[in-house]
Amino acid sequence: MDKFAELFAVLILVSAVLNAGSPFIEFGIKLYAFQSLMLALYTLMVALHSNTPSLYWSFSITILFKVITIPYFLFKTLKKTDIKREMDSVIGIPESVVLAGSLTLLSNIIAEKIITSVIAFGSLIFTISLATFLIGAMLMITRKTLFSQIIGFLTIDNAIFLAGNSFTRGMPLIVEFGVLFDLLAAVLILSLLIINIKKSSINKTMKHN
Amino acid sequence: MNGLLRYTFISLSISAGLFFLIFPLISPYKEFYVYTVPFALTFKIDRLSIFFVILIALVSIFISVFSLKYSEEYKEKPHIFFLGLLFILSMILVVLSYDMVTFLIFWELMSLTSFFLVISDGNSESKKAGRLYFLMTHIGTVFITSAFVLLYLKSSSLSFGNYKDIAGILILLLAVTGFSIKAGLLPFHAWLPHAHPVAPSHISALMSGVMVNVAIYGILRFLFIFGLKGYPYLGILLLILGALTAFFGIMNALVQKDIKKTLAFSTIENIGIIYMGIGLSYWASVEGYKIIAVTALLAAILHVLNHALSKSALFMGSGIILKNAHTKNMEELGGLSKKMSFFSVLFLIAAMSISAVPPLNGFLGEWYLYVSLIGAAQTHNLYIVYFSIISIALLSLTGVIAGAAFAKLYGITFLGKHRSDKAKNAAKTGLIENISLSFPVLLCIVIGIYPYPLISVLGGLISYLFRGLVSGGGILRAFGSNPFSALSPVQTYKNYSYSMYSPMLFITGILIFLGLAAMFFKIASNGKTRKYKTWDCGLEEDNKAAQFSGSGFSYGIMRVFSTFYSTASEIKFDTDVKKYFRKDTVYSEEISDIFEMKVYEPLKKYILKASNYLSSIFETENMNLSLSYVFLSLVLCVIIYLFLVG
Amino acid sequence: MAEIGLGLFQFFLILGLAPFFAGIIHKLKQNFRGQKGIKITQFYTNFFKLLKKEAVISSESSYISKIAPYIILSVNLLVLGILPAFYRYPLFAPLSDIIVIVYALSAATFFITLYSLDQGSPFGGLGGEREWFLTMLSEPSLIFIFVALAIYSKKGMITEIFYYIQKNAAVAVSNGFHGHFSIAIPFMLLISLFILGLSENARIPIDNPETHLELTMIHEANILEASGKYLGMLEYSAYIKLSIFLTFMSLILFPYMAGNAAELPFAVLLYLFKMLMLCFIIAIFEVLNPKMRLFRAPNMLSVAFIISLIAMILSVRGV
Repeated sequence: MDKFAELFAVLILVSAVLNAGSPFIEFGIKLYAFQSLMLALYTLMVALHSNTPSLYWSFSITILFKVITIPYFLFKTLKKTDIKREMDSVIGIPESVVLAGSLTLLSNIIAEKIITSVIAFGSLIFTISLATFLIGAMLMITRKTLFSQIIGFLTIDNAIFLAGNSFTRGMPLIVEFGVLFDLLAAVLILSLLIINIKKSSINKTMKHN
Repeated sequence: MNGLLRYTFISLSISAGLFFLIFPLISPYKEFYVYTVPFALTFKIDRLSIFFVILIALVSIFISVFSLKYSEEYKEKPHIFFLGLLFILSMILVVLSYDMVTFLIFWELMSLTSFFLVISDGNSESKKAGRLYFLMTHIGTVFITSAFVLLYLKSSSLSFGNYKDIAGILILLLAVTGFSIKAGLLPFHAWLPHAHPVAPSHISALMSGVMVNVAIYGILRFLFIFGLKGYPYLGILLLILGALTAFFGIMNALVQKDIKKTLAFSTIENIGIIYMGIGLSYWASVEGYKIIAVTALLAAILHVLNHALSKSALFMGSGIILKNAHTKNMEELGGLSKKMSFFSVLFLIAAMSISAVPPLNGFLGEWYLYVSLIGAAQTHNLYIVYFSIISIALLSLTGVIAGAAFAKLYGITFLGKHRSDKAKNAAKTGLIENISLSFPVLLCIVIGIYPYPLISVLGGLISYLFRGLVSGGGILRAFGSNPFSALSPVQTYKNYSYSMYSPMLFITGILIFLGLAAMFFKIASNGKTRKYKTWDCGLEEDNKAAQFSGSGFSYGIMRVFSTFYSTASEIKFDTDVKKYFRKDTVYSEEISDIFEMKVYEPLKKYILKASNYLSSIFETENMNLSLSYVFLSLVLCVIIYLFLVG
Repeated sequence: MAEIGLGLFQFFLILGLAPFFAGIIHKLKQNFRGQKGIKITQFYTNFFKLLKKEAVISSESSYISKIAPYIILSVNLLVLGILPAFYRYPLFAPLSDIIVIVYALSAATFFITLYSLDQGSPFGGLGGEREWFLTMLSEPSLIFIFVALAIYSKKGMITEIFYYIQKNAAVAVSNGFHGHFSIAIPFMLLISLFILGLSENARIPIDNPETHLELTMIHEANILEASGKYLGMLEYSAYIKLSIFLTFMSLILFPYMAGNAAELPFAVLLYLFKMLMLCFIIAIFEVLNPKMRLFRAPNMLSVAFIISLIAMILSVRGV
C-alpha cells in the first residue's frame, strides 16, 4: 500500500511541475483535475493504511468537488471568455521548470531538517506537499493571467490537503467540508471576476505594479 | 643574428626541459640548496612536485620543439624566445621550491615573464589584456604573499617543511583565492580569455596548458599538505564554484568566433572540473570518506594531466592555423582539412580528448569525477548530497556543451568549403610542426586506452597527499593482470557495488565493429562512388557564405541560455529580395563576458570614484602633512603586525 | 562459452529486429491515420536497396565523410552489445557502466554533427546545430536517470541495476508489495526516458522522421548529403539507437533477464511483447501530437529533467 501511496503523492508533485512546464490553460485545468484525482487516491491509500473511516468520506468529497465540480466550472468560464489559450509569464518556461526543481530540492532539505514523525509515510509526504505548495506559489507569482493564478491557488490548496490528510487522523470532516466549500466559493467568485473583467473590456492580463 | 639567437634560446629551452624531465627521475625526493647573496634558495623534489615538474617539462619540450619552426613568425623578435625560456624555467622552479621566499621569487618571475610575453605583440588589444593580467595576477600575489606571511608568523620558519598541518581557514582562504586568480576560477577569470589568446601561440599553449597547473599545484600543496583538516565547507565551496566555473567557461567557449578565445574559455571550463575534483576530495578527506577522496583527487590530477596535453596540442594547432592562414577567426576559415590532412586528424583527436569522447583520456578523468560524485550523493550527509546532485547536472551539461563547442571549432575551421581567400590560400603544415603536435596527441591516446601504469603511479602521489591515511594504489588497483579484464574498479561507498570502465575493452569493441562493418559493407554494397557537388537547392549561385556559419551553430543553445550571455546583435540587409541570397547582408554580433559587464566594469567605476575621493582628501602640498601620512601608515602596519602575532 | 553464444544471440536478434521496430511504429502510425501504409519490412528493403546504389560523395567533403558513418555505426553497435535486453550477460558486460553508455552515445552525436558540417551544405549545419541543441537538453536528464537508478539500486553497472530491480520486483510480488523497492522511482524514470527517447530519436513532437522539409528536420538534415552505403549505415544506426532507447524503456518497465538458456525463450517472448507495446504507445503518442516548434522543445525536455530530478531525490532518500 505504502508504495502506491508514494507513487500517488509523487504524481501530485509531478503534475505541479508539468503545470509549470506548460503554457496552456486547458492543459493546466486538466492537470489540476488529475492532481486532485491523485490526491483522492492518496487519501484512499491513507484510509486503507490507517483504517480511518472519515478519510473515506474525505476521498469521496475530494472526487466530487476537486475532480469534477471545480474543473467543470473552470472549463465553463474558459469557454465563456475568449482568453488567449496560452499564458504569458514573467520568466521563461524552462527557467520556471528548473526553478520548480530547485524548490523541490529546497523543500527536501527543509523536510529532512524537520522531523515529522506524525505524518503518515514519513517525511517524503512533507517534502512533496511543501514542494507543491511552493510551486503553486511560484505559478501565482510568475504567471500573468488571472486563470493561472486560480490554478496556482488550487495547487496550493491541494498541497495543504495532502499534508492535512497525511496526519494519521486526518482533518475533522467538518473542517474539510468547510474548506472545500470555501474553495468552491472562491473559484466561483474568481470565475465571475474573469467574466466581468472580460465584459468591461479591461485588460485581460493583470498589471503587475 | 636574430635567427641564431632564436634557435639558441629554443634549444636552451628544450635542453632545460630535458634536464628537468630526467633529473627528478634519477634523484627523487632530495633537498638541495642554491646559495645566493642574501639568502639560500631551497629546492626539494617531493612526490607532489615531481609530478608537476615532469608534466611541465614534458609539455615545455613539446612546445619548444614546436616553436623551432613556428618561430619563423617572430623573426624580428628573438627576445620572445628568451622570455619563453625564462618562463619555462621559472614555472619549473616554482614547483620545485621548498621555502616561501624562493617560491614567491619564482612565482613573481613567472608572472612577469608571462606579462611581457602577453604584451609582446604590441597592439592595443594585447596591451589592454596585459594591463588587466598584470593587475589581476598581482592581486593574486598579494593574497598568496599574505597567506605565506601568516604561515611564517605561525611557524616562524621559511621552509615548507615546517608548514605541515598548520594552516587555518584564513590562510587557506587567502591562498586559495590567490591561486584561483592565476587559475581563472569564476569570479576572477576575466583576465584569462583576454590574456591567453593575445600571446604568441606557443606561449598561449604554455600559459593555458602549463601555467594554470602551477596554480593547481599551489592549491594542492596548501589544501592537502599545509592545511588543517577541518573545514568541510571549504571543500563544498570549491566543488560548487568549480561546477559553476566549468559551466560558465564552456558556455562562453561555445559562442566565440576566435579559435584561441574558444580555447581560453575551455581552459576555464577545465579548471572548473579540476576544482570540482579537488573540492570534493578535500570535503571527503575531512569527513572521512576515504575512497571518495581518493577517486575525486585522482580525477582532478588526471584532468590536470589531460588538460595540459590536449590544450597545449590545441593551442599549437591554433598557432599553425594562424601562421598558415593568417587569421584565427573561424568564420573566415573552413575546408582546412583538405590542405592539411594529417594535421587536421591530430587536431580532431585533441579536440575529442578535451571534449571527453571515450575512450580518449579526457573521458577518463571525467569518469572518475562522475563516480566520486555518485558516491558522494549516497553519503546521506545533508548538504553534499544536494551539491553533488547539482554538480552532476552541471558537469553533464558542461560535457555536452564541450562536445558542441569543439564540434563547432573543428567543423567550422576544418570542414566544408573555404569561407574566404585566406583559407583557400592557406599554406601546408611543416614536418616539425606535425611531429611536435603528434607527441601530446599520442600521449592522449595512450593514456586514454592504457591508463593502468599511470593510475598506479598517481596512486602513490595521492597516498602521499593523504599522508598514507589511505593507500591510493590499493583502492585503485587493477583487477587481475590481463588488460582486457583489468578494469578501473571503484567502490565509492560502502554498500555501492563497483563502477567499472575498461578502456581497452572499449577500444577493442569499437575496432572489432569497425572491422566488421568495413567487411560487411565492402562485400555487400555496390562499391561504386561518384564525386558530385553538394546539393544547393538547384540554385545556380555558387555562394561560399551559403554554408552554415559558426555563430549559427551555437545559436540554439545561446537562445535557451540567453540569461548567461550579454549579447548585442544587429542585422543589416538591402531590401532587394529577388534572389535567395541577398547581396549585402551584414550580421554583427558582439558577445561579451557577462561577469565583465556586470561585475568588473561597475567595480572599476567604484574603485576609480573611491580613489578619486581619497586623493581629493589626502592630496596636499603641505610637506609635513604628507610626511605624517607616511608615518601614520607605518604605525598602522606595525599595529596590524602586532595584532596578527597576537 | 555458452554465455558468449547467448550474448551473441541477443546482440544479433536486436540488431536484426532494429529496422522492424522502426517499421512497425511507422506502419501503426499510418494505419491510425487511415492510410494503407508501408510493409512492415519496408526498412529492410530500403537498407538493401541503399547497398546496391552507388554512393555519391560531395566534392567538398573530406575524410570525415568516409569514416564518420562507420564510427557512428560501430559506437551504436557497441552500446547495443552492452544492453542486457533479455539475457543477463551481454557481450560487453564489463563496459556497462552508466556514464560510459551516455558518453558513448554522445560520441556518436559528435561525429554525426561533424559529418553534417563536412560537405559545406547549408542544411547540414542546421541539423548539427539542432542535434546539439536537443542533446544538450536531453543528456543531463539521461545521466540523471541512470544515476538515479544507480543510487536506487546501489549498483554502478546497467546489467546489475536491472537484475537488482528484477529480483526486487519478484520479492515484492511474493510478499504483497512490502520491503525495499519503489514503484514511484521507475515509473517517473520511465516517463522521463520516454520523453528523451522521443527527442533523441527524432520523433514527433520534436522532429518528424517522415518529412524531408529542410527547414524543420533535424536528424534528416544531418544526413542529407549521405547516399548509398553511407546513408544505409546512418539509417541503420538510427534504427539501432531507437531500439536501444526502447530496450532501456522495456527494462525499466518490467525487467526480466534470463540467467541461462532454459529461461531464454520466455525472456525473448516477453521482451518482444514489451517492445511491441512500447512501439504501439509511441505510435499513438506521435499520432495524437503535432510537431512542436523547435524552441518549445526545451519546455518538454526541462520537464523530463525535473521528473528525473525528483526520482533522483527519492532514490537519494532511500526507499
